[in-house]
Amino acid sequence: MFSAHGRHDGAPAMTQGSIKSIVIVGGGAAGWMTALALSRMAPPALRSVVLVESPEIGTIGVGEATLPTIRSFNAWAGLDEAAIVRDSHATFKLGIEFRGWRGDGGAFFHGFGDYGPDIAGLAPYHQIVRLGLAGSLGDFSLPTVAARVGRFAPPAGREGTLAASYSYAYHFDAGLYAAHLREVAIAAGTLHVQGRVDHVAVNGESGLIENVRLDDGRTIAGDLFIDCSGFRALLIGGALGAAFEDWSHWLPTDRAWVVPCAGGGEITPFTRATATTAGWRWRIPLQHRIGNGQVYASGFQDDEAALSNLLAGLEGAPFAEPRLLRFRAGHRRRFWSGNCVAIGLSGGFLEPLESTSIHLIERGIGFLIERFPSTGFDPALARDYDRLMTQAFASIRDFIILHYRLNRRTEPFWRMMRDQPIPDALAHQIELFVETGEIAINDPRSFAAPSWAAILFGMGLVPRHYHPLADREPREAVAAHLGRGCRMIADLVAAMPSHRRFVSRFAGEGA
Amino acid sequence: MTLSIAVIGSGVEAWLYVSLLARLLRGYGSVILVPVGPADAVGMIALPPSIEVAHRLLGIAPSDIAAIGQPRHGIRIARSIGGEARIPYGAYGNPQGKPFAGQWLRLRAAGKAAPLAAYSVNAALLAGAALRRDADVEVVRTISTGWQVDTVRYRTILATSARRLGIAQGAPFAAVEREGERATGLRLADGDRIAADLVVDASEGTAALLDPSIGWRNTCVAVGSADQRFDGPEPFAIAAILSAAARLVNLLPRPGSIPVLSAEYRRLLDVERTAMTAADAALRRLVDRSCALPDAALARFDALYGAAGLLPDDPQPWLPDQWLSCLDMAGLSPTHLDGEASPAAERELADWVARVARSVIVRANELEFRGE
Repeated sequence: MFSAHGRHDGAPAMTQGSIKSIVIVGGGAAGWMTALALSRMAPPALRSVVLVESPEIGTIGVGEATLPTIRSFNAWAGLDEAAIVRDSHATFKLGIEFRGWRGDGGAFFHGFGDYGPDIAGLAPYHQIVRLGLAGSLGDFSLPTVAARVGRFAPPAGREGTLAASYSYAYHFDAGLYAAHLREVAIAAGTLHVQGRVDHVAVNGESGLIENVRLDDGRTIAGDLFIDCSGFRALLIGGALGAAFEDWSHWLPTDRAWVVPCAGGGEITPFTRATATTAGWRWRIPLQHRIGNGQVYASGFQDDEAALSNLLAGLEGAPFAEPRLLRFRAGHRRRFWSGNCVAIGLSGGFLEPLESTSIHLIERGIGFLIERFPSTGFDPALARDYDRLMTQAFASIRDFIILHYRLNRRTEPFWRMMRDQPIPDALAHQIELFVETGEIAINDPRSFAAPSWAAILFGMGLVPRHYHPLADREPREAVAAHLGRGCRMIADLVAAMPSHRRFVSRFAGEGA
Repeated sequence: MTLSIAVIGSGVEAWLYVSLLARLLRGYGSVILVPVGPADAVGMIALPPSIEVAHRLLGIAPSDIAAIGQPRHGIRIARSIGGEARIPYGAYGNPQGKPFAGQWLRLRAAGKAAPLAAYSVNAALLAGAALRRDADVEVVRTISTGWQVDTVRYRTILATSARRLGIAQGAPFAAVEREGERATGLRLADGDRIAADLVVDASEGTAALLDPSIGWRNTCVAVGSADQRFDGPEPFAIAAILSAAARLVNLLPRPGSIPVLSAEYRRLLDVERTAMTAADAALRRLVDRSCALPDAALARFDALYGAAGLLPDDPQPWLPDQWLSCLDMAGLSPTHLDGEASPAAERELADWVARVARSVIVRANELEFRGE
């Protein structure tokens, strides 16, 4: 007999009253991050968090690169950074290198930091443009300069100083990260149930999920259900029929081959995204291997050709058979329906060009905790959750489309991506930058101006005009100021250890 | 490219706007003020706490403002059903402690909370209490103050500041000169003509010079009350003037770029308008619930607060604490609060009440603020 603290007697789920039991369907990073967060949050009436995971169903594992926000999640959840780095074979990530996107064979870098403080009240880009230095934007970014020479040290020092002006994220084995979380979440009280969900019981009257049945006959009832079942979306899609908002007309890449391979000597402190015939290839360095993936649009390239692309780019022997993933860009119109909340791929998918999969999980968890339905399901909470998640997806969608829009490659896929209609908000952002050098931010919770600048300048755009007040500052003084900044960056980077050395020391393997 | 801006208006809003423009433009281009209609009526004008930033920028000393008015510690609203609603500025509770609203709402549900006003030194000051000389430093840090000043004398201070910053004043306004939908300049009462790259209506709506609610279109800009009127008791139009000046300077015209810059200006303005309109509607609802107009953003804020005590977290003219006052006084109460405040939070809040009480001198006729 199943002995979770949660009910397993098939009793009807509540419509009002305290949430006593939470059932999470699906493991992987989404499931275990959610389990740990809810166990840590510990709403007063909560008696159980049960995570149901099928040992037969693999996790997707495309989220091996992260954004710096994951560090806030880990810290909030009480995770030990050294243990994560050690257990998940993690390396540190200062940003993403984009190769071949402009079509000129060059590369640019999206670093996790800014390009210096405002100069006389204006964003530094205006002076950089004025001085004709737009092509050297990366020289003003500490993480970019450090990444170029393969060095890494975490930010340090007083807030507002250069040494504290950047951030970092991780590359890790998402399966191992999930395993680490599983251990901590179970210690924090999450009950782990292994089994395959073969039926979801929905109350015909209330529309709420009452329980899930496993293929061995056990049923697990709960008050709140979290769908972390990945693309299958067993609860939110399968049982509750939440409609899918399809964005594949804007982001037509729909498949990815993935394969790990042996690494070489140095470990780069950045993800690499290399443009290919009908998509792009990722390279994510871990401590003992390199994660590789080939994202492509099946309408423009067949599976065999895409696989050849991937295999031709490997730096070492493959460690496994390549796996093919299929996906569709978009999201559920309802992330929260009745007593079910979709977190992770069940809620939606955006290609991993900017490593946003795990970030969107963090956002989903954060919004849920802020709006936790402790004593009942008020539609206002669900609609607000939907509003915020939809906004999060839309702003990231536009940021990803930006990369494609500005490409200058000649293949049919890339020409289409350059010419097809784009969302109005993004069209405005691009036009504003091209005409004036200003960067509009629609979602202050998402990518900030320095990230937009990295892509806009990196893809070769130079604004026609800069802010008129930039001319109020003496040109020589500004040039000297910017030069000083570059020298300070170079000095700080020179004092950093190599990334591999830092990782080895940090992970406790000895230098 | 040089830039000439002609600002139409005679009142506080116009002088405040041109002063800020001149300060932020640092000598770039030219700004001229063209008076229109009568200046502000005599009387008092309310200034929000954010005015402090403008005064600092313009070099206006607090003592100059204190000499023409008195501090305004919050919003006082005469209710049609009788009595007065008070929305104190500043923070409730100790900003260094746990978020106030969640703890207080849980304590109140358990019957263990003091009245909301007891947690705010601004509320005490708003009720007429005085700050003690030896007031608790942490308590004093939570104070936020606007002003209630003599309109004519305040306008004079602003005009002096504007002239010091090089603002010229033209002859009275006669008409806007246009080419199609573009304003190209102004005709003055003395027959002179002024060419302008931008014509700004800061006339507080007295002259209806440009279409209302245009924000910025072509070469026409409307700011403050000329752009949107607020009928509630909070001076949102003054707050809107402050942000309008900063927004225009951030988005200064560049050759051929007015269409996209003005679109960005309107996008940002829309965000501000939505927030201010909701806050204005919330205040008017406190005056008379039957007169309250429906407002989509306010309805969302009501629903989230009513569900779980959540306060607006999108850009706002207020701190969340002003929303807490406003929603609480409207009779809303969260229906889904889980659990109780921790004993530590209970002690922390009780301690804060005592620290606030020790920091002020309450006069006999103001004891009602403390619920005594």
